Amino acid sequence: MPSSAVGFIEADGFVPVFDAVDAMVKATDVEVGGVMRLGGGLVAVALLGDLATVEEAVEIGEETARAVSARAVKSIVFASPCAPVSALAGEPQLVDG
Amino acid sequence: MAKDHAIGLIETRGVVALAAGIEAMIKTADVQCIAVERIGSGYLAAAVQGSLAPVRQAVEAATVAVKQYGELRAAQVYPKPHDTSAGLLEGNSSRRLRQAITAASGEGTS
Repeated sequence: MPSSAVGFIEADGFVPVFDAVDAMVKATDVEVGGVMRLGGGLVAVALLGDLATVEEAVEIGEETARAVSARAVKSIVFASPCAPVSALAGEPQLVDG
Repeated sequence: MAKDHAIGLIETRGVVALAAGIEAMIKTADVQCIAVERIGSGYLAAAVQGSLAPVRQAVEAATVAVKQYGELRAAQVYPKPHDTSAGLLEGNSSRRLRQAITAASGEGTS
């Protein structure tokens, strides 16, 4: 699968991120790199795939997460990420708690 | 060589801000990402290394990029870090990171 694009979604709490992942993997064939427990209640998920898939997934995921946790939900998409960013997305346990 | 051993450090809250910072640093100047550290309470740090001018440019670009996405807790440039302090960034997580980077840059489309 050409996994060139990378996306991250981050929310306060595990439930919003779990919701987002569930919605995203059902709606798109995005690859989930993994969930990262960053501490302080912050949880993030890394996404990989081609650009259109990742963008669509992030849109769905962010919307779903925002519906659950009114607090800040952040997301970012990299069309052609540099090596360290795609490494981080591919191996989120580098920063997982 | 001592000349390209300047280190730039940024610390952000959340991985979205950190990724934006790392992307800005690597794509702005000729620097290498040598460490990503999990600080706790949602804070993360990333370190880049290279000659002084590129590191300074990279950290500047990262400061701007991170602020668009989240909280920048700190950003600092170290022109001549002592070996002991540079050693702080040599933990096993940065060894795993470097393996992942070589893997990612290997299969990434350059």
